[in-house]
Amino acid sequence: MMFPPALKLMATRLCRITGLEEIRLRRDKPVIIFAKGKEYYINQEGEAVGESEKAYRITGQDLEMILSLLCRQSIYAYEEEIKRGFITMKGGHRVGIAGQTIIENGRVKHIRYLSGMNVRIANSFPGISLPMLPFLYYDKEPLSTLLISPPGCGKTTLLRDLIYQISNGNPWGEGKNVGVVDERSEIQGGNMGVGCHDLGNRTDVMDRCPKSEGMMLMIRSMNPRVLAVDELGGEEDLQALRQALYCGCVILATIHGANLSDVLRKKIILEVQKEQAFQRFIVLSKQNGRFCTRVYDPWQKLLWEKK
Amino acid sequence: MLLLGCVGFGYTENLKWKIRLEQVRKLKELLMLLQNEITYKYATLGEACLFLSSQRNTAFGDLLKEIYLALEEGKEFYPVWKATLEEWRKENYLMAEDIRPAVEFANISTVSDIKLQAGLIELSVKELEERMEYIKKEYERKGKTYVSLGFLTGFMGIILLL
Repeated sequence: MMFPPALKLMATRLCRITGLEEIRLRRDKPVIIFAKGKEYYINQEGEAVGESEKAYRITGQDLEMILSLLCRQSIYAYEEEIKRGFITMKGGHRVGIAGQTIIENGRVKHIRYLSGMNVRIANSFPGISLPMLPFLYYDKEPLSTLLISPPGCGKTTLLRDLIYQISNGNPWGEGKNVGVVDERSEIQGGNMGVGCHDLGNRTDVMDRCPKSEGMMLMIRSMNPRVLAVDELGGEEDLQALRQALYCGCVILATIHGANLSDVLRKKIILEVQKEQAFQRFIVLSKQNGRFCTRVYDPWQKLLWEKK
Repeated sequence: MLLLGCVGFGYTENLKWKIRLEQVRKLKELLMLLQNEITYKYATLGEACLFLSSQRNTAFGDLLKEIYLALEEGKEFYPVWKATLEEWRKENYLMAEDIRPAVEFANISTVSDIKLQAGLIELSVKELEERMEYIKKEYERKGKTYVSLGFLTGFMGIILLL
């Protein structure tokens, strides 16, 4: 429940839309949703309308109220998330926030005068990774895999299913202990320690923990065979990634990128690939509204493709 | 019988002050635990209420769970918190002034800083301590008077009856 009482009907109807991908709320602008690759204007009753004039226009007060409800009326408890510009809701839905930032010592301290929000709906497609699994195993052991895609192509959804399949076992390998470092609470979609998405019977989750710290904690405490992290990026991630590899862990990770060659140029990947850290690359893309998945080996040879 | 009844009445009035003091102390304890949940675990107000309701076998248990459930429905914290404490007060020997500090900390919404949130609770705790000090003094001053008055009334009644 994140909408104010006046927009309760809108919230109820939006929840029922199948294939809902995004809800865009911008101050004094019409509510726009994206579902099944198409864009729709939404009125106060939550119905799709053809023209923007008929759509409901979100006020600054609405945005403030939504933020308060998202933070369960305890904004102090979401201080860190607000600083990073997003809040993760129950179910793993990510709400990005934009507004005027307050800077302290060169870093964002808070965001005020909210100007917009973007609700990204987390989807779950059980079994989505099954067709590509034979290419992600060697001798019944999972291979370290990097998932690459631009935002909104389903990296986290695929990662979630891969974790489930590896944890529970599948026709290509027995179940393994999987440690998940869920920095943004998106993979598990956790709420008060309870995950909304099933990540398998052998999965341990370190929730809302910085990746670099979480990976080391997991290795020390939970002895995982496979370590899964979302959205690699920083210098500190590189160090933790190396440590995990030296410990003999298989890595499942995601990274933003348009294509494989684009990602292989990134410093963090360039460094770890010197030691062939990742043996498989899954590239997700969207072409003309259709999703495309490709699996590559470290020499960029295409192993599997689905359009 | 009359003497015993009057003395008993005096003791009951005396006891009410003692119970009132104990209830304000419980309220203070609740706020301190709430503050700890907030500062140590970064818990939301709802989460803190739910955790305390399950941890503590006190009069607040179910009430705190009700607050959590109301917040999950999207209700505002201050009215729910105020109504709950008011309901609890009516079932006890407390006056409106006794619970006021505990109620008012919730009146400031959109606290974006954890230090401020913890500070507001600390302020309420201090006000409750002052309230406890007042009740204690009153208990010591009036307590003996109630028992003595009860005894005297009973004694007078016996004399009148004789």
